[in-house]
Formats: sequence, structure tokens, C-alpha cells
Amino acid sequence: MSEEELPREYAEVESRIERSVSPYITVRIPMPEGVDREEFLKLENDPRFINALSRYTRRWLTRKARKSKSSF
Amino acid sequence: MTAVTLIFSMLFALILLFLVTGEHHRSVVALFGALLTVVFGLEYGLLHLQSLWSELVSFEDIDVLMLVIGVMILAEGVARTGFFEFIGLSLVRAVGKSFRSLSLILILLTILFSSLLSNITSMIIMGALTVSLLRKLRVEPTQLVLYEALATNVGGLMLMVSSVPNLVVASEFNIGFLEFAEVALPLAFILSVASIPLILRQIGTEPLLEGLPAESSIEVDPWSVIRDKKAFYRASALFFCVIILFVLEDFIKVPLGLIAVGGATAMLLLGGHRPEPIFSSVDWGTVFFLASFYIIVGGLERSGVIAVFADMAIKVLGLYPMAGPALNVWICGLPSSVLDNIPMTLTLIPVVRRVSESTGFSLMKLIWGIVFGANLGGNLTPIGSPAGIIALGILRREGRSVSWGEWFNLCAPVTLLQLLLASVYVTVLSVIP
Repeated sequence: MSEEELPREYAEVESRIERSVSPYITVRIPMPEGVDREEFLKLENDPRFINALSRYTRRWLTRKARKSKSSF
Repeated sequence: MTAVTLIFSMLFALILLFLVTGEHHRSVVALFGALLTVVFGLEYGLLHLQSLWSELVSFEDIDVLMLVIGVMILAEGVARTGFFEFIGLSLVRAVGKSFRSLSLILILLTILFSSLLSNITSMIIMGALTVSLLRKLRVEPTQLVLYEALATNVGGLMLMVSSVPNLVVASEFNIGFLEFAEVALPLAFILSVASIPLILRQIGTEPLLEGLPAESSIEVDPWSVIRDKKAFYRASALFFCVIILFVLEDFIKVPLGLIAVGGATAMLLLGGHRPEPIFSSVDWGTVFFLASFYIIVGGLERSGVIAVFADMAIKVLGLYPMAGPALNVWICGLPSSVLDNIPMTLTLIPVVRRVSESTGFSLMKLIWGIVFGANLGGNLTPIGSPAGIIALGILRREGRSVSWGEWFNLCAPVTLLQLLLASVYVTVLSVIP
């Protein structure tokens, strides 16, 4: 084995453990109509966009929990 | 020295040179060496065309080859269920409250896993676990990952099935599973007790990563790494059954290779995985390397090279008879820091056999130095052990490159201490009747 290569199993194992240590989800967002394609594709690696989505997820789940409590 | 001995010595030196440079895969180098051994063997009458295949097969240790293949399939089958990640995450959840206790548990886990798995697989699992956990704690992972690479080699000497040199020596000298553990486990314990405080003191100085604040606690869900619970239970039960059969080998008198291949077949039948990915994950390079090196060593024996090595060893032993076992630790350990430990082990076995026959020195007292030196020596340099190479690859992926100097600073003191302790241990063993 050369110093350069890392077995491909490593990526699989790391992703399994990473999901357990820092759970995350992968979602597919279709491109909305009327937006710039280049700008849209850049969002995938935009930390501000990911933070905004994370905050929205928190709000969504809190609202959902509150709703289910009040209906109960 | 005859012309044949000289030619085979040069051939052996050439093979070692190719292995050190690392330009070609070690299995290809060994296959090439085996091919040259056959060509020169036929030319000089050491091998005979009519009986070539039976002569080559007689050089091999089929039980070791079956054992290596069987253990690889078994370990791959159980690892694919997420078993080892599950154990790791469960322990981290139970005791990893502070960074120090987390570091201790990760190093102990590395030793445990590498006693059951190949050093490569255990380094992959522990490296991934460590990097993920330390990323969450915002701690720089370099030191811990490097020390885990060292820990794999301590785990690698614990049991007979822990590494290929152990399997080769145990098979060659008919050492049972329990007999092996009886000698090797105390040393693994001594090495852990001596080196872990040293490591933990060093790790306490790890810098925090810049950026996001560290999370105060780690919450993990071990069950999230298990995709199929039924397969997980079945594969784990099978794995432990085979380990129990290994332990009982002395009583049931079934060759270990047969137990391993039987267990591997059961794993393929009942483990809940398709066989193709498991077969493709088996380290066939090691299998070809081992099989080819048996032929090279067979050629060295027939050409008289081994006898020359043995004569040199006898002269040294004549001068320092008490130092024989400890010398073996260094004779096998130092070259293993730049070379694979399998050729060193395979070459030294016939040498110590001849030394024992000529001097009357107990064979069993000489061989443990080979086992311990082969397992521990690889830690001296970054290229000496596959686990070290994997550790460097993991760190490079994390954007951290480790220089040779850094490796020597961190790892060489621990490795030298371990080799020294192993030398004292085998010397003490040799004076116990």
C-alpha cells in the first residue's frame, strides 16, 4: 500500500459513524423556476444557506411538536 | 559460499530492495521473486521440472493460508454489520465523558479490535471514529490517530489470530491458541500499562481546533450504525462461535485453518451479505504475498542461504548466549520498520530452527523474539506498518500532513520503550525453566 492511498472502505465507515456522532440528512431540492442556475447550484456549498436551512428545520420541528401537543 | 548460495543471496537482497523502495505492490514483488526462485532453482538443480508443483506446494503452509483467508472473510462479514462501530460508540457513550477518558477508551478499543481484526481494518474503524468524535469536540486529532496506529501493533501481538506473523510462527511450531495467549497477553498488558500513561500525558497537550465552539458532551446512538439487526446478531454469534472454537482447538484437535474456513463458509451462508463484496474486500495481496514468500524462503533453504544466516547467528549466540531471545526482537524488529514483517518472520524461522539444532538452544525460547519484534518494529517509521500508513492517509484527508520528524518525535520513543520491554520479557521467559 502506498502512502497516498486510503482504502475506499474508510469513506463508508466514516459516513456511518459521522451520522451517529453528528446526525444529518441529505435532501434533494429541485431548482425553482425563474432562478439563476449557477447561483442555485452554488447553494450546495454555501454555509449561510445551510445555516438558514438548519434554523428553519428547528422552527419546523418545534412548530410540529407544538401542534401535535395541542391536538393531543 | 557456493555460486548458487551467492546468486540466491543476491536475489533475496534484490527482493528486499524492491520491497523497501515500495515502487511496486509487495505482492507483485513477491510473485516476481518466487518466479525467479523457480527459474534459478530449475537452472541449478534445486527444483525439478517433473515434480515442480508438488515441490512448490511442499514449501507452502496450507493451514496458514486457509487460516488467513478464513479469518479475513469472517472479520469482513462481521465488520459489515457495523458490529465494531457499535461496540466503539456504545463504549464512548458509556465512559467517554471527558477528553482524557475518551482518549483512553479509544486506545484500549484499538488494542482490542486489532487483536481480532487485521491492523488495517481496525485502524480504518478507529480512525473514522476518532476523527468524527474529535471533530465534534474541536480537538486536533493528529496525536491520538498516530498513537492508535501504535496501539494496533500491541493488539496485533496478543492472540494467535491477531496478525500474519503470529499465525505463521504458531503454525510452524504447533503453538496452540491458549498457549500463544498465555505468553503474549502478559506482554501486551505490560506494554499497555507502560505506554498508555506516556501517551495520555502527551495527548493532554492537544490544541483545540479553531472555529466553532466545542460541544460539551457527545451524544451518540450506537444502534444507528446497525442497518440489519438480524444480520448483526447472526454474524456476531458466528464470530464468537469461531473464536470459542479457536480457544478449544487444543482439545478438539481440528486444524485452525479448517475452523477458519468452516466459519467463513457459515458467515457467507448465514451472515446476510452477498458474497461478492466480501470476497472483493479480502486482502488478496497479503495472501499472494505470503504464498509467494514461502516459495522464496524454500529456495533460500535449498540454496544454502539460510545455513549462512544461521552460521552467523550461531557465532553471535556463541559470544552472548543469554542475549539470543532479546537479539531476535531487534533482528526482526529493526528491519520491520522499513520492510514488511512477513518476510522477516518467514526468513528467520528456518534460521532459528538451524541455530537450535546446532547449539541445542531451546527453539521455543528463540521464537518469541521473532513474534514480538515483527509486530512492534513497524512502528519505528511511518512506512513500517500498514496501520501507520492508513493513519497518515486519514490525517491527510483531514488536511494534516505528518513529517518523518514528527513521527519520530511522537512514536519512536514509545516504540523503542516497547521493543526494550519486549527484549526484557523474552529474556525473562528464556531463564524460566
